[in-house]
Parts: sequence; C-alpha cells; structure tokens
Amino acid sequence: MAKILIVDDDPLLVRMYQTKFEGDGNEVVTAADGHEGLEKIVSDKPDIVLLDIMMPKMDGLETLRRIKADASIKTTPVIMLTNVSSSEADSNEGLELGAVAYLVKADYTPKEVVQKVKEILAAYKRELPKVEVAIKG
Amino acid sequence: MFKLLKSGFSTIKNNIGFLVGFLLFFLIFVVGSFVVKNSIYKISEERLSARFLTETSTMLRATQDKIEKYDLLLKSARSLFYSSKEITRAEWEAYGSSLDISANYPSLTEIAYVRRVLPLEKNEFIDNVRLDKSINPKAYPDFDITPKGDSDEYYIVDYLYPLNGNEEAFGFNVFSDSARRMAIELARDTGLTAITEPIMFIQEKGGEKGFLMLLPVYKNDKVDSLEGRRDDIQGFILAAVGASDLFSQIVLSIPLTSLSGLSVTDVTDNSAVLLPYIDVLGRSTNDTGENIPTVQTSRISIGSRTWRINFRSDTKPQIDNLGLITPYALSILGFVISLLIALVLLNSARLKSKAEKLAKDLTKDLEKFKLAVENSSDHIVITDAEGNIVYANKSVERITGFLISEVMGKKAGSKSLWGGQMDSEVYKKFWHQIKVEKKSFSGEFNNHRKNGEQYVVEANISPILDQNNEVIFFVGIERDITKAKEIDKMKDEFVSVASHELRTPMTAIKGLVSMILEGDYGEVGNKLLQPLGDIALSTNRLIHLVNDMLNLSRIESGRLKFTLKEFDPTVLIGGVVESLNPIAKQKGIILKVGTVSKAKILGDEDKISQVLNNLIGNSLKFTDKGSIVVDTETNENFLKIFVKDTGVGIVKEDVEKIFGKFEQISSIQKGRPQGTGLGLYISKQIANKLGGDVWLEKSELGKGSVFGFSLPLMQSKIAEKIKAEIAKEEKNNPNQKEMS
Repeated sequence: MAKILIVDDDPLLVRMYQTKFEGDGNEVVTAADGHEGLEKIVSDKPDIVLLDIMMPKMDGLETLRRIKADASIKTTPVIMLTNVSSSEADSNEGLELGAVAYLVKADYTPKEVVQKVKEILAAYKRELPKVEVAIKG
Repeated sequence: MFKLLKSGFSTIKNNIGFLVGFLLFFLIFVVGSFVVKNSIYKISEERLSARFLTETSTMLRATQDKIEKYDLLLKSARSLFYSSKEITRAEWEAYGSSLDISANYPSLTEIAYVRRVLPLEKNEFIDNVRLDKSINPKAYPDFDITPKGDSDEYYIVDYLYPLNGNEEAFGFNVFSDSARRMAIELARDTGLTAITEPIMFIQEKGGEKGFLMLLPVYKNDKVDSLEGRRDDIQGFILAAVGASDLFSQIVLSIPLTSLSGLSVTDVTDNSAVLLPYIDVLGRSTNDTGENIPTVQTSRISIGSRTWRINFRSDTKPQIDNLGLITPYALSILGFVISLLIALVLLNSARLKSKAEKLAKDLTKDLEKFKLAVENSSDHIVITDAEGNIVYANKSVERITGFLISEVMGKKAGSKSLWGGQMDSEVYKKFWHQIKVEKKSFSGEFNNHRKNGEQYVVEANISPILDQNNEVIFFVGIERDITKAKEIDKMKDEFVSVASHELRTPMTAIKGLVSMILEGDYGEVGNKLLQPLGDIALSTNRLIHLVNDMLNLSRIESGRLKFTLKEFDPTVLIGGVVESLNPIAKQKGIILKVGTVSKAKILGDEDKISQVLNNLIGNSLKFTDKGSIVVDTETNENFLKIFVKDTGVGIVKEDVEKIFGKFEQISSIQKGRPQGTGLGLYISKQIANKLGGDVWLEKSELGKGSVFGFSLPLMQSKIAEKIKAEIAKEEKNNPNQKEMS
C-alpha cells in the first residue's frame, strides 16, 4: 500500500498503469506534465514518483532536477519510466540527477513495473531511516 | 639502326613538315656537294691545264735549247776547219774526246766530218784512209766507201767520233741516201745547219730513229752566193742525234707532273714519226699513247724542219696532284655526310618528338594535378616542415573565409586562422604524431571560420618525407563535414523519436494485453487466451525489432554509447542466466553457469548483458531438450564466454549467413518464435566495438551449437587500445543527446 504519482502526458498509458497499481491496492495520483507533477509532489506527498521524460511544458529531466533542488521533496524516490532508450545519454543523466531506477516502458509489462516499484520501495524504506538520521544529524 | 629508321619513319609519318624539311636539306646538301665537286674539279682542271701549259712550253723551249746547243757544237767543230783549213784525223779525235760527249751530249750518237769527194779523187781518198796510221797504227786497211756504187759526188763520213760502236758509219756515203742528200743539199745551198727528216741510223747499235744535223764547211768561209757555195763546198760537220735519247733527256731534266708522255712527228713534208710515244720517265713503251688523249699538240721549227709534238696527259685532277680532295671522293663524302646528318637529324627529331610528347604529357599531368588540387571541393593546404602554409587551394577560401593571400606563410590551423578551437593537448598530440612519429593523422577538428562560425572537418594530414626520412612538407586535406554531421544528427534524432513514438503505442498494447491475460479487466474466456497470447508475442517481437533497429542505427552512426568499466563477469553472467531461467524452466531445459573465470574484464555491462541475452536467448529458442551451459576460458588477452546448447544446430550453408544483417535461418524457423534477424549482427558489432568478437565455435546438426563471445581482459594491451578508441569517439561526439 503506497501512494504513487505517475507523471506522464499519455493518458492511455497513465490509465493503464493506474489500473494496474490500483488493482494492486495502491493509491495513484497522476500529472500530465512536469509542472503539474511538481505541484502534486508538494501537495500529495507521494511515496514514489514515476516520471516520464518526453513531455510538454517541462520534460522529465528538468522536473527531476527541480525535485532534487527542492529540499522539501528531494527525498521522494523517483523512477524514470519512459520510452527513451536506456542506451541513450538520458538514462545516465536521469540516474546522475538522482533517479533510483530507469525503466523503459516497452520492455516491461505493467505487472513487472508494479513489481519493480514494490522492490524499490521496500529497499528504499529499509534505507530511509538512515537517510533521515543523516538529515536530522 | 633498322629500328631507329623504322621509328624515325613513324615519327616522320606524324610530321610532314619535318619530312619536307629533311628532304630539302638532303637535296641542298647533295646539290651543294655536287656544285662544290664541280667547281673544285674545274679549279683543278684549270690548275692542271695551266700547269700542263707551263710544262709543255718548258718542254718546247728545252727542245729548242738542245737543238741550239747541238748547232753550236757543230759550229764550233766547223771553226776548227776554218781556222786551220785542213785538220787531221788525229786532231778530230782529240777534239771529239774533248767534248766528253756522254756527259754533255748524251743523245749524240756521233759527231763526224763528212768529206766531199769527187769521183776522180775517190781511189786516192780510199788509199789515204787505208794508210792513215795517225790514230790506229794498223790504219784502216779494210776501209771502203759504202754503199758501193758510183755517184756524181760523194759525201763520205771520214772523221768520226767516237769510231768505236759507229764502225758501220765510217766510210758511209751520206749522199747515197735521199733523205740525207736533201739535207746535204739544203745545208750546202743555205750555208745553215740542216736537219734531216727522221731516219734510221745505219749503225748496228742504233737501229733507232733519229736525225742528222749537217753544217756545211766551205773552202772559203766568206762565200755568200748559191753558186759559190755549190762550188766551194768541202764537206759537212755531221751530228747524229737519237730521238728517244734526246727527248728522254729533256723530259728527265724537267719536273713534270701533268704530262704523261709525248710523241714527235716530223711534219715538214709529210708525216714521219720521229719519236714514238715515250712517257715522262723517257721510257719508250709498246704503248703508242694513242689511247691517251692528246691534250696538246705543238709545232716547233727546228732549223728547216717542223716538228709536231703531241703532248699527252692521262692525268685527271687528283688529290696528290692538287693537294685537294678529289671531287668524286668529295661527292661521295658529301652523300655519306648528308646521309649521316639525315640519320642524326632523324634520330634527334624522333627523340625530340618523344621528349616533346613526354613533356607535353608531363605538363598535361601536372596541369591535371594542379587543376584537380586547385578545384578540389576539399580544403587542401601544403605547408613547410614547420607547418607554415606554402600553398592553399580555392576551397580554403571558400571553407574558412580567409583569403589565400591572408593565410600564406602563417601556421596552418593556428588560432589566428581557423584553428585553436580544441584542447591544446589535442594539437600537441597531433603535431607529435605527424612531425615526430612522421605518421599520417586522420581525425576530426572543430574549427572556426573567419566570421567566427564553427565548423567541423574531417582532416587527413600527411607528412611527406624525403629519402632520409626527413619531413619535407605536409599536405593537409580537410573536408567540411558540418552539414553531414548535422544530417547524421538529424537522422539519429529521427530514429530516436520514431522509435520512441513507436514504443509508446506498443507499450500500451503489450501492457494492456498482459493485463487482460492477468485478469485485470475481468475473466477472459478460454477462446481468447490463444489470440491474446499471440498478440503479446507479436508485440514483444515488434518491440525487439524497434530496439534492434535503434541499436543498429546507433552502431552504424558510431553513436552507440559505451560506458567502459572494469568488472567481474561472473556476477553479470549469473544475472543474465538467472533472468532467463524462467523461460528455460518453462521449456524443460537446464540453463546453468559452468566453470567461470574470475578474471577482471573491461567492457560496458549493459552491452555485454545485451549480447549474452541474445546468445542465450537464441539457444533457448532453438533448444527443445537438454541443456544450455555458459562457460568461460581465458588466454593472454581475452576472456572467452561459451554458450553451449543441445539444440537443433546450424547447417553448413547457414553458418556464413547467421552474422549477416536481417538474416533468418528459414530452415529451422518453423514453429519457433521469430526474431528480427539482427541479434547476432548487433552482438558481433558490439563485441567488436569492445575489442572482442562473437563467433560460432562449432555446430552439429541435431546435436547443438557452441557460440563464443570474447572480451578483453583488463590487463591486456587490447583493453588499453579500446579505452583510447572509445575515449576518442566520445570526444568526437561529445554532446550527443536524444530529443526528449
């Protein structure tokens, strides 16, 4: 049970992932572009963000950069979920900017994506207290 | 020579002008030598005839001189008589011997006193002679007048010097012979020396021709009338002169060069030969001289007689004679020389035309090269060994914007020109390579035009070395690839965008189908399971294809990004095998890792797992039972990963094809999931990029295949090389970015 923010401009895919995540018992918040995504992170405080790259107004990398630049939200884990090939420079850039994973949509079924998110959240939750301690300290 | 002529003629064939010139020259030379020959001939002829004339006149004068000398002799002898009225035989003998005839008058056969004896005195005269012991004590008892017979008067050779050898003449009645008598009568009547026509001497030793000179001796030396002379005649002084002796002596006494011989004929009354032909050495030969043309005929008067002398000369103008080249030799020489000159000219013309052709060809070639370089669309620069520009073609102006006059003498690629845009290390390395290592450089440079605009060139710069391996100059050829780069980038971006745009709907299909099958949208009827499963497979295949196409495009444009790092392959191999195990299990196949080396390798983990995925995936596809084992081996440079399966194997004719682009092996495809035909091709490309390879180690139909995949070991030289190469490529394509 987690709150998941999906930031993607393709409503069809958003609906698909939303169905799968909700079917798995998660709460899903959606945003159609980077601006909206940033707002929703702040307002809805999701546990994890699935961020597309190619979007109008503000692309995913810029959104990621802003997330990481904002101290109040920068600890929220971000998974790049995109159809931009993983062998491109952007995958590196996404990871370098602080994304926890880079998934190419076409390579995974929604079920596999849900599984990945679960794994990451589980790992993140184990590590999170340490991070918090570090921040508090 | 023949060859020379042949090629000479072929040259001529090509050159009518030359042929005409040559013939003209030849003609002029031949005519010239003919003219020279003739004029020399003429000159020599003139010289010869002049000399001939000199010689003949000398001859004539000498002849007259001789006769005069004899005349004087006769007169001196006669003076003996006039001074003492009567001289004795002994006195005559003394006088004769004093003359030293053989030395002074070699042609004189005898000198005699011919006494006139009347018939009444005849016997007394004979008796007196017979008893005369003044010279010879025995006297001349056998003396008689010859020839016998009576005569009105006798003119008898009385005193004779020398008697020895002339005995036949002693007592000879000169009056008995008509020729002699005519001369006697002429001399008697004129009081002058008379000369006989040519006669044969009666002496035995003679038998030769000659003439007599007769000078009258009168009782009274003052007689001056014909009557008185006839009454007073007492006798004659007689000299017998041998013609051949006389003329031999004359010709020998004169240096003769043009004259070859002469003959003398007495032509006073009728022609009588005095001297048959003799040559200039005085030899009378059998040769009559008639075959020798008479060059000159002269007549001289000798006393009462006229002699015709035929001077002959067979002497043509000659080298020896003239001190000049003989005209014939000259004309032959002329011909030979003109022929030689002609050959020389011919040859030199041939050489000249050959040289001209060569020069023309060379010039043409040079012109061609010059034009080619001048008008090349590539920027071409030649610099000296220090890199200072000595030549720049038109494209330099067009590409860089600098005028040729501006760049001359400046350092190529300096900051003040088009260079200086890149890290100074790059230039340093580049200069070291071409100047110190003396190796050609190929690579890309970022340059800037005069107006500041950036551009990219593909540069090839070669040092040109001399025989001592020293750099003479550099040739730099640069191609502006800015546009090509842009187009490449656009193409790449297009593929990226297209693949992205293709992936999105495929993601939806794939995702939705999987969700339907997973029951997310309610229960699915059994009848729908099969078609929905097929849609899922097809979609996956389509996604694979798009991925492969994207990879292919990246590989071929050299934009596939490699992130090299050192790592332990066991983890990677384990991971890939684990991820594929579910499929193996599903097929009932054992998929496992065998013996794996822990040697560290250099490579890009993502790419290597992509290749391994592909290889194991292939094995899975073509193996229905048995196992798939992944082993490794190492040698000096490489880690070799082997994927061994117990699958269907590959037929021989397909072995060559499997690494080709879009190759699918149809024979074993039946009923198997279809691939894109790019897997092995891309795998091989990636392996090659990483310094390794992918190959089919072995395959047996029905028993299985072994694929090999090599990667450079971290410590190997190849790893170093690959690092450098990948780094270089990164530099060339620094900011490749996908549109997002």
